[in-house]
Amino acid sequence: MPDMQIILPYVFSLGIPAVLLVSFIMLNAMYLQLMERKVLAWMQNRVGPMRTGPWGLLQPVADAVKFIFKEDIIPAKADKWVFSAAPLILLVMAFGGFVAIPFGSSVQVFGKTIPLWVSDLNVGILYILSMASVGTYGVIMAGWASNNKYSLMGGFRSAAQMISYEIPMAFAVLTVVLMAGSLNLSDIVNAQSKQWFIYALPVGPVAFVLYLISGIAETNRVPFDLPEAESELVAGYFTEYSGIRFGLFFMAEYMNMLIVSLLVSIMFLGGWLPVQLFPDWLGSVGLVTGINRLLAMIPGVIWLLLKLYGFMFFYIWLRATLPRYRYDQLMAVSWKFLLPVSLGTLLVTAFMKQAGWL
Amino acid sequence: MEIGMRDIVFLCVALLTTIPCLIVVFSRNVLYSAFALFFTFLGTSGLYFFLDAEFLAITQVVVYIGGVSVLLLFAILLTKNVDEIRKTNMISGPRMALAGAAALALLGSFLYALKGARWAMNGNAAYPATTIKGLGDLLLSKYLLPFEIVSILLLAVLVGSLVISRRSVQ
Repeated sequence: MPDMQIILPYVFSLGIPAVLLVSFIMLNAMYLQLMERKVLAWMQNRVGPMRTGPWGLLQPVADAVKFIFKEDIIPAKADKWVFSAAPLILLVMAFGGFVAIPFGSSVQVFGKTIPLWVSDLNVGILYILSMASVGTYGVIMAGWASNNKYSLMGGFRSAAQMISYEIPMAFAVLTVVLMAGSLNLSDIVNAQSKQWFIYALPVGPVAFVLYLISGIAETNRVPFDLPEAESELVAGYFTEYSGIRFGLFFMAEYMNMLIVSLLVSIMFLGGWLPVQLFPDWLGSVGLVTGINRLLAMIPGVIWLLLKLYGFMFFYIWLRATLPRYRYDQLMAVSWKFLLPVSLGTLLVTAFMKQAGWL
Repeated sequence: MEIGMRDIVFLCVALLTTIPCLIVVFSRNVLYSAFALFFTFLGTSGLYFFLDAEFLAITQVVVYIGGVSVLLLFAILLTKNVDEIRKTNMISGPRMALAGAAALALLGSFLYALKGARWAMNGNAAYPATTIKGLGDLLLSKYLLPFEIVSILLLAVLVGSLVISRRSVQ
């Protein structure tokens, strides 16, 4: 029996945050799907899932049960090992990204300090970017192992797209890193206590839009969902997948969307910092400071989650609104527009930082 | 000797690095080799984490997995007749002997270098919290010229590949 005195601190600093994180991810991966179906339905003047549970609330559970009990088919000519490893790699990498994301500063519960992160890495943001880039590998593996030309085409498209959009994304992130002077996500949030980076004119808004566009492209969502374009490629790289393996792909996609939304909120919208309706420089008029103080009383986690779900809604909104890009347009947007703009933004930021304007 | 958590994790990381290495070398299917290389790179990154070189570890993942091995996969998948093992994997007696000799020579030189190496000891001084600052300072002061030369080389490679691909299109 190991000594409780040694284990107990780990339970509070690592165990509880890890359990919280995993349950948060799983719940979100299930219920974001319901959110997507509901919001899409409302935008298209339908009601969405209504039959399972009150107001369709049990639909994700029903879906999960269906995924698990459906027959798991591996095509006869598919490569068994690679075929089954591919969704796992995607999922593990998506999980890996969450480890470094802080959801707030630590909280006090019953006199114990519980951090709201699993690991506060010094190179946190780079780590999350690297996990995203590894995901490409799983996609190619899935596409190739299925032994299906649509899957292979989808895998190729997805890989090419992810590689192309990683570059402007990395430059947008670098802009933020320059402004904050740190790669640590907590430091990046704390650096925004005076002013969110989206307001840091003129580079902030540009970097924000750049990151948002490349983030949506990186997660293969509308309008950049060419890898799974139903009308041409059936379902792209996961055409041949069924049952729980298909469910794993689905979960990984939602988890990547979550990571992108979390990063946008953390890097540009001040993470867990409260919204300041009136900036401090307006002066300390009684009512203004009162409202600001009231907003600051809401816990940081709730602010972060509000921003997060705002972006998730934005994702769905885009899906209901926009048609799909053509392949050459997709590449042109990245290489001819986003890349030069992001390079320029980075240069301007470096110059402003050096001149002391930021 | 007491085996702690750290040793177990280290063992796992070391196995994750070496076992796929064997697959890379001995697999008769080039694609399997490429897929196994992925795990080797991942394990190497884990070893860097053990050395407290966080930045290096992450860079390893970004550059080698996100860049190099994805390009490698592209190259293999876009090549014709990859599945024909007879064409892609030509093992013969003389070749095996040659490869064995080269591997032995490499191993010998490694052992010689390891034996003669004088490891720089840190004493018990605390490691800096992050290696990024030191790396950045060195890169922009002492190693500025090599850094710039490498970047010019990369640019030349980029332009060269463009020229080659354009010629093949015409």
